Amino acid sequence: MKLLLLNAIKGLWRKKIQIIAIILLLMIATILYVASNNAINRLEDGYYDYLEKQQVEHFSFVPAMENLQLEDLDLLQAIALTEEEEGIVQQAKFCLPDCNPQTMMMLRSIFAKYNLQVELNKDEIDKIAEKHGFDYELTQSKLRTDGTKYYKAILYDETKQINQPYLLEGNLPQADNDVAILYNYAQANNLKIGDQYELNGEQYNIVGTVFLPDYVYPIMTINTPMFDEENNNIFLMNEATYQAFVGSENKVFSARFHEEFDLKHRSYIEGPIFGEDGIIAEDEINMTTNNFLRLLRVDTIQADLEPNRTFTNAFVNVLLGISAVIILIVVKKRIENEKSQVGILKAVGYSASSIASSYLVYPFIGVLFGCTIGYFLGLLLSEPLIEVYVSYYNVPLPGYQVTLEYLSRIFLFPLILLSTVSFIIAFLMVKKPPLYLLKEGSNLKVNFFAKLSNKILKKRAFKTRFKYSLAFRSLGKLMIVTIVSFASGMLITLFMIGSGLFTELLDQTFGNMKFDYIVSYNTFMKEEAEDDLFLNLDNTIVKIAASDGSEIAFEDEITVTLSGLDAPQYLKIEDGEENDLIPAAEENKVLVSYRFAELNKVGVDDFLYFEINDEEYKFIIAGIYQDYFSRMIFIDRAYLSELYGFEEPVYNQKYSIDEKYGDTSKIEDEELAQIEGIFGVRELEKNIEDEIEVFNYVIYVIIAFAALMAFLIMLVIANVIVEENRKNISLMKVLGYKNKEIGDIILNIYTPFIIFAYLISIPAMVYLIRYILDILADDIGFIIPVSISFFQGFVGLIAILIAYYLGIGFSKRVLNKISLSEALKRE
Amino acid sequence: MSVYTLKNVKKIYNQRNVALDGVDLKVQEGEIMVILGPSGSGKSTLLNVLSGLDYPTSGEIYYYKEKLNNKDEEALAEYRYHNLGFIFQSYNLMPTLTAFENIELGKTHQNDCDIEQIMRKMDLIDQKDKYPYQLSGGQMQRVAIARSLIKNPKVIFCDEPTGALDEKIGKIVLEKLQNINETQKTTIVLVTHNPSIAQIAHTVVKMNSGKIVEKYKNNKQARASELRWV
Repeated sequence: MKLLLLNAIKGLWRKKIQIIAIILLLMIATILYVASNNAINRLEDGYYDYLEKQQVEHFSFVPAMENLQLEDLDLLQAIALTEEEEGIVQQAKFCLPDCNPQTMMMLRSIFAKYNLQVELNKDEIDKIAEKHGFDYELTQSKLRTDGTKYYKAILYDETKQINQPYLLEGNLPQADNDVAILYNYAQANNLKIGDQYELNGEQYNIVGTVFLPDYVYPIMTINTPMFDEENNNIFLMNEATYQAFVGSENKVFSARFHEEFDLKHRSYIEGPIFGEDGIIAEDEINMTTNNFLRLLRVDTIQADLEPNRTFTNAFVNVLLGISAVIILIVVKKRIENEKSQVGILKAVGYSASSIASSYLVYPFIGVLFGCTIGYFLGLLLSEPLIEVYVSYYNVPLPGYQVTLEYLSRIFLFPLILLSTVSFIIAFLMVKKPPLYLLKEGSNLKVNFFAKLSNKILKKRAFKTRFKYSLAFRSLGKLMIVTIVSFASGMLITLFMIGSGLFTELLDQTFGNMKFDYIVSYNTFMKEEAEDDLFLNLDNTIVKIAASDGSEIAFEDEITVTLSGLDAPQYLKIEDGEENDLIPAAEENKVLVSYRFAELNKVGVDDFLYFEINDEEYKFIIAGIYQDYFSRMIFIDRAYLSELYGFEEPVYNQKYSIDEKYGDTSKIEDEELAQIEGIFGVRELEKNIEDEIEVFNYVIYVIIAFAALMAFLIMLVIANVIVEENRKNISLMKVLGYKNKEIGDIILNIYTPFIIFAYLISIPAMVYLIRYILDILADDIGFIIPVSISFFQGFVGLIAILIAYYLGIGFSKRVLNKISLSEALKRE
Repeated sequence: MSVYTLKNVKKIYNQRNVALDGVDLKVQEGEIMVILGPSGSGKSTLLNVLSGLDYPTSGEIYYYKEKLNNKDEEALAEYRYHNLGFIFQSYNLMPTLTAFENIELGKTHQNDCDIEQIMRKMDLIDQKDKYPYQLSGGQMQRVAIARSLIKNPKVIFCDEPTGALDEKIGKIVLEKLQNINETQKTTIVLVTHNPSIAQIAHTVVKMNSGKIVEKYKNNKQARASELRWV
C-alpha cells in the first residue's frame, strides 16, 4: 500500500497543472464559503444581539381615527388653526360622530397634521396593550431639511426602555444643546466628541456618537429611501433642546411585546400584529406607514444578508461540483495511462480496492492544500467583508474571533464528496480482470457518436473530420466542456440581464419625469398653481370585470391610489408604443400601470369598481402606461374631486421644477405649514445611478469570476487532452505536421460546442428569470422587464472564448515539448 | 547516387551516453538497407538521426546535397512531410480514424495518389471503413505502410516493422516493402534485431555500441516469402 501511495504521489507531481487547478478551485470555493458565512454569521449574531440588548421596538403605531368623538375636538383648542381648518372643526362640532365622509377625511387630516393622533383614545390604547401583551412609549422626532441634507432630532429620555441608543463614544446628552449624533455621520464628516456643530444659527455640543437600534438603515423619511451618511444625521437631545429645534414634527408610539420573539422569524409580526387575532385584524391601531418605514430601517439588513448567503453557498456548491468532475477526469486519465501497471499489480495479487484507494491522493492533496489555504484566506477576507456591510448599516461591528465552526464543513464535506467520487470511478476501472488491463492500449473502441460524426462529415476536409472524431472520442470531457460553458454562460447572462434591468428600470422610472420635486400636502389645496397638480386618494377595488361584463376574480384586497390629474407638463404617461395616454383619462376613464395590468390580468376596456362615499363607481380602463412599480390609477382630477364631494377641484400633491422646494427656508411659511413632505427626484435618481454603478462593477467581477472558472476547467481539460494524445501528437510531428497545425487539430476541438452551449444558455437563463419573476411578481409587487442586448451577449461570449483559448494556450506549451521519440517507443 | 551521407556522426545523450560514436555511412538511392544490432547498439538512434527526428551532437548529415544539421525544427518537419514515410513496430494508428482516414493522415497537398488505389494494393479495400480496433495486426501494419506510401516518399524508414507480427504476417509485410522498392524505386531503411530479415536487403549494416562493426553488400537477395524466421 505504501508503494502504491508513493507511486500515486509521484504521478501527482508529474501532472502539476492538473493538481494545481484542483487546489485552486477548492481554495476559491473555501474562501468564498468561509468569508461569506463568517461575515454574515458574525454580523447577524451581532445584529440580533444588538437589537435585543437595545430593546428595539417590535412595531410602531399611531391610534386609528375611525371613531372621532366630539370630546376629541378639545385637543384642537390649543392649536392655531387656519381659517379653513376652523371651518371644518366648526362643522364637525355639529355632526360628530356621524359627519359625512368628506368632513371626516378633512378632520382626520387636521389631527394628522398637528400630530394629535397620539393624544387620542389613551384609555383604549392601554386596554389594547394589555390585551395583546405589549409596552409602548411615545417617540418624538423632528425633521429638518434643505433638500439635500436631512437632520432628524429625537427627544432623548433616559427613562425610556424601548429603542435604547447604543453609545459608541462619549456620553448621551444631558445638558441643553448637548447632542449625540450618528456614528457614521460623524465619521463621514470628520466630527469628534467636543466639536461644536452649527445648524441654522444654533450651536450644538457633540458629546457622543451613537447607533440607534430602530435606525439600522437610517432612512429619514418615506420619501428618501436611500441613506446618505454624509448628509443624513440624527441628533439625540434633551427636552429643552428638542423643543427649541425647528422642524416638522412626528409623534408615534414605539411598542414592544412582553413575549420573547425570535426576530429572525416573521411570525412575531404576522401573528400578533397581522394575524387573525392580531392588532391590525381587529382594526385597533393604524400602522401602515410607520411599520413599513420601520421594516426598512430595521430589517433591510436581513433582506441583504440572506440572499447573499444563499447565492454564495450555491456558487460554492457549483465550484465543488466542478472540482469533483475535474478530479474524476484526472483520476480516470491516470488509470487509463497506467492500465498495464494496474494489470500487473492485480496479477501479482493487489486487490482492486487497495489500488483504487491509492488514487485518493488526488482529493486528499486537493482538500489538504486547497481548503486549508482557503480557510485562512477566507477568515482574513471576512473582515473587510464585514466592514463593507457595516458601512451601509449602523450596527456595532462584532469583535474579531477565530472560529472553528467551519472547519468540519470545509474539510469533511469536500473530502468525503471528492474521495467518494474518486474511489468509485477508480474502483470501477481497476476492478476489471488483469488480462483485460494488460491488453494493448491502442485498440481503443470508438463510440457511436464518433462514428456518427465521421459519417455525417464524410464530405468535409480531413482536418475537420479528425477534429470532431477526437471531440466525440471522450464524451465525458465533451459533456463537461459543454456544461461548464453552459453554466458560465448562464452566470454571465444573469448578471448582464441584471445590469440591463436596473438601467431600464431607472430609465422607465425617471425618464418620463421632467420635474425635480414631489411636494405632498397635509391638506387639500384649492388654489391653482402652475405646476402639475394631483389629487391622490387611497382606495380599495371592490370588483374587477372584463369588457364583456364577466367578473375577474382576485384573491386579496387591492389597495391603489386614485390619482386625479389634469394635463401634466412634467410627467409623461405613455403606453408601450410611446402614445400619450393623458387625453384618454376623462370622466370615468382611467389609466392603469403595466404592473397593475400584469398582476391583475386586466386590459383596456375592462372595468374596475370602487366604493366612494358608500356608493359604488365603475371605471373603464382606457389605457395601460409603461411603469413597472406604480400603484397609481390615473383619472381626471376634476371628476375625482367631485366624486369625493369637493365643490371644486382640489389637490394634495404637485410635481414641480421650482428650486425653492430644494431648500425649505425659501418656502413661504404659510405653504410650508401645509407641506407634509418634499421628495427630491434628482437626488434619488443620482443615488440610484450610483448604486447601479456599484452593481455594474459587481457584475464585471462576477463575469471575470465566471471566465476564471471557465479558464481553470478548460486548462485542465486541454491538459488532459494533450496527455492522452501524447503518442498521436508525437506521430503527427514525425509525419511532418507543424506544432501549430497539431495544436489546431488536437486542442481546438471544442470551440463550436462552447459557442453552442453559450448561445443556448442565454435564452435558457432569460426564460428561467422570467419564470421566477412571474412567480414572485405578486410578492414583490412589481414587474421587472427581462432582456439582454446583442452587445452584452457578444461580450459574454468573448469572455468565455478568451478563457477557453487561454486554457488551450497554456497546454500548447506542453504540446510543443512532446518529443518525436514518443512515437517510436515500443509498447 | 547517395540519398544520405553521414560523416563522423556522433550522438551523445546527457553528456556521457554515447549512442553513436563517429558513424560514416552512405545510403544509396533505391536500395533496401537493413541495419542490424542488438538492443542498445544505436540502430534506432541512427534511424532517428537519418530521418531528422533527432539532431546529431557532431558530424554531418546530408540528404542528397542538402545538409540536415543546419535545419531548424520547422524545416525538418517540412523535410519529413514531403520526403519520408515511417513504419513503426507498434503501427501508431489514430484510434478514432478509420483505415481510410489513417492513410489520409499521411497525405500531402501535392500528392495525387488515390487512397483507394493504395488500399487495393495493400489488400485493404474491404477494411476501408473499419477502425483500428476492428483490424488484425497485419492489417494495421499494412494501413501504416499505406499511410507512408500515400505521399510517394523518396525514403521509407521502418523501425522493427515486423516486431509485433507473427512470421506469416511479417513476411507478407516485408513482401509489400520489397514490391514498393522494386516498382517505385523507393529507398527503404529498415532497423531490426532479426538477422533473417537482412536477406532481403541490398546493403546490410551491423552495429554495436554506437559503431558500425560491419557493412556489406548482399548480392543474393531473397524474397521475403522465402525467409525463415530466426
